Amino acid sequence: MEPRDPKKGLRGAFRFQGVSAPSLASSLIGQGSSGNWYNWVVKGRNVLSTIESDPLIGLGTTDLMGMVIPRTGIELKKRGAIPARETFFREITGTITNTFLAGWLGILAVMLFNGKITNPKGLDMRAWIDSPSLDAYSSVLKDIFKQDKITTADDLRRAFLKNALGRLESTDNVWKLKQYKTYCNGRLPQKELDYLVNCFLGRQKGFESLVFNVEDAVKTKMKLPQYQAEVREAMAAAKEAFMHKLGNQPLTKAQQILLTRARMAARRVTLSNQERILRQLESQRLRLYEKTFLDRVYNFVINKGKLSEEVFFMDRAAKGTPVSSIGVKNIRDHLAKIKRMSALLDHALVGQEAKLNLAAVEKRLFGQLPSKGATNWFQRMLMPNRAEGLIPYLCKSKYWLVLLPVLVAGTLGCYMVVINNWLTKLKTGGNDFPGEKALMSSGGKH
Amino acid sequence: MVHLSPFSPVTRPIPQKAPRFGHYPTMGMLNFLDFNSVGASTVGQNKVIYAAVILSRLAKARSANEFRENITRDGLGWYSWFMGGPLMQTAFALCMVPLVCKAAQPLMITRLNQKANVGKKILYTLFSPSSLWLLATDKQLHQRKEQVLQGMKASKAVAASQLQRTANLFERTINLRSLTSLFGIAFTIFLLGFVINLVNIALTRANVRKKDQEKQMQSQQSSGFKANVNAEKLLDVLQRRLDTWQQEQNAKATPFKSSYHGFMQRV
Repeated sequence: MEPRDPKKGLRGAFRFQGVSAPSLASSLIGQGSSGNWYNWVVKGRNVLSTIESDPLIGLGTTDLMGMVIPRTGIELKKRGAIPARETFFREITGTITNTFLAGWLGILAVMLFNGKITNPKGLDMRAWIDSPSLDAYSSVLKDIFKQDKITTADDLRRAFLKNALGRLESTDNVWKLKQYKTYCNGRLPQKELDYLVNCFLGRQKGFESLVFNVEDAVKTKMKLPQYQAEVREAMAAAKEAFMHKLGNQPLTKAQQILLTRARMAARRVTLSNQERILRQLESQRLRLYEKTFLDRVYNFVINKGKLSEEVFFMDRAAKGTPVSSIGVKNIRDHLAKIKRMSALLDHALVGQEAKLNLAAVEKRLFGQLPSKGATNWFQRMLMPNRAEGLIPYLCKSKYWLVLLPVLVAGTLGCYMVVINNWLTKLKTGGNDFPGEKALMSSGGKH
Repeated sequence: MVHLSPFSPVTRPIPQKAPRFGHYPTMGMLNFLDFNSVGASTVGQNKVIYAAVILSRLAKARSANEFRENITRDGLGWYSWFMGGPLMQTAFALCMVPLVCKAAQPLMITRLNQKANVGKKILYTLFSPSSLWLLATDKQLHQRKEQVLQGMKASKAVAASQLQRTANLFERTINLRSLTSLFGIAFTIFLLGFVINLVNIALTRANVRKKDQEKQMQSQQSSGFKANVNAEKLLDVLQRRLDTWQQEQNAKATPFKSSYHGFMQRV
């Protein structure tokens, strides 16, 4: 490396930076003449990989660069101001409604549908698991339920995590090639898999504080004196209301039974409210740690497990084919969702720590409302219910949280053409297509 | 006692009491439309919404030309916005990359579903080329490069020259991968922004000029009736003159009335 010449100033400094870049650059350019420009190649590469990393960024870029800007420019030049305004309005509203609006409305939907009626179990809907993944993880759990080795709750958790994490397979071709086979992996090896499962369970060093059982935390919180006092107050209030109705007379035996029922009802409602709110708070707390947790786990999977960024979820524990409904997905995404699924499993395993009853767990996960009896079609198909299993419950919630935003975004997008035509009418006065008129006056002979 | 039924107790089908999650009625639609994470819409949603928007534009078209322009612009736009990029990338990776560096292709492309039948393959090629030829991402290649180079350094059996060669190969592959995505993006932008729009304008201009010419022809043909038109105009003028004369006469006959009338008009 040459010594830096102070006379050359900044330009010299830049040139030296180029020289200090690895000789890989020179090999590409040819005869060792590594230049400054290779840094620009690397920068361009990074920009392109950012655009490709997220489909939303990619679609937004092509929309803005391919639809909004050139189309407006061409219209302005070829047809004049009014068609150009129309085009600009059409394309810019299209960018928003077609690409981004449904997602933004999704946030709004999650905030709105987080109440007592629409989310009676108080699950954290922000810890989203998309339905193809949910389906795949459920099938993993069903496979496990068929085995009879599982005797404790911990066994079940471990079996699920090991099975689900073991099914991730890198999508690239490098690990299949003979010359690189020894240096990288498609799936996690057994040793790394065990380590990772321990990380997910919070039993590994550095992970104890990042992972906790939400249900246990809710249980311990509910034993705190302030929450118990709340329950007592609610029961006292119910009693007071009951006595007030009767005019504070001495009670008969039947009335006493009614009073007890009213007090117990008040207790039940208060407890379920407390549980719902505390579960939401604790899940939020867990989600705060999620990023740190994922960073560490991701680094382990890439550096020690030797997997790569994008993965398939395979339909079998060994070999098998990719689950096509999930397709290619970022490994970080999968790790986050497997973590969230294990939190759901914790929810289903409440009270099963001492003695595991697999049928009960299965019912808590997958149990549906009875098809006949006191339920109607609306309750069975659309309304999340406290009594049903977690996964049908999630499905029903998703039905609202997904379809409503998509419908609203679609409707707004469709309405934009009416606004656009109306704006043009304000300017021109007629309900004609302005694109024709412009071409007529410039190109027509009279 | 002998069982006469075709099912022995062992082979008798067990009524499924287990909940059938896979058959949950909402799943089919959810699989296509579900969010991946809250706050980011997915490509499936975008496809559906854009299709609906196109239909609304067609329904509200103000002339035949606009209708045709919408079909060309948005129909082609829908396809090339969602699938044009991947298609062009795949084409580039399959055809152009081996011309530059043959060893880079197996690092970049994973071949999937190669045993599918012809119809399926055509469908895949048109609508999701990645289910036949999946391209590794830039980041994946970076990670693989690091892993392979680390492994080679650790093994010590590999010569320094081979290490350098591998590093070069990976670097070249990464560059070619970036070139592939650049080609895809540039092609999409070119198609969406310039080709479709210019074709539309040219077609509309041709249509409009054709109509202009037809109108001219019509006006030339109808020049034989010009006398008639003039007579109508003459009658019109005469009628107007008669009206004004009558008003003047009325004003002379009843000055009060006319002034009253004029006053009301001024008010």
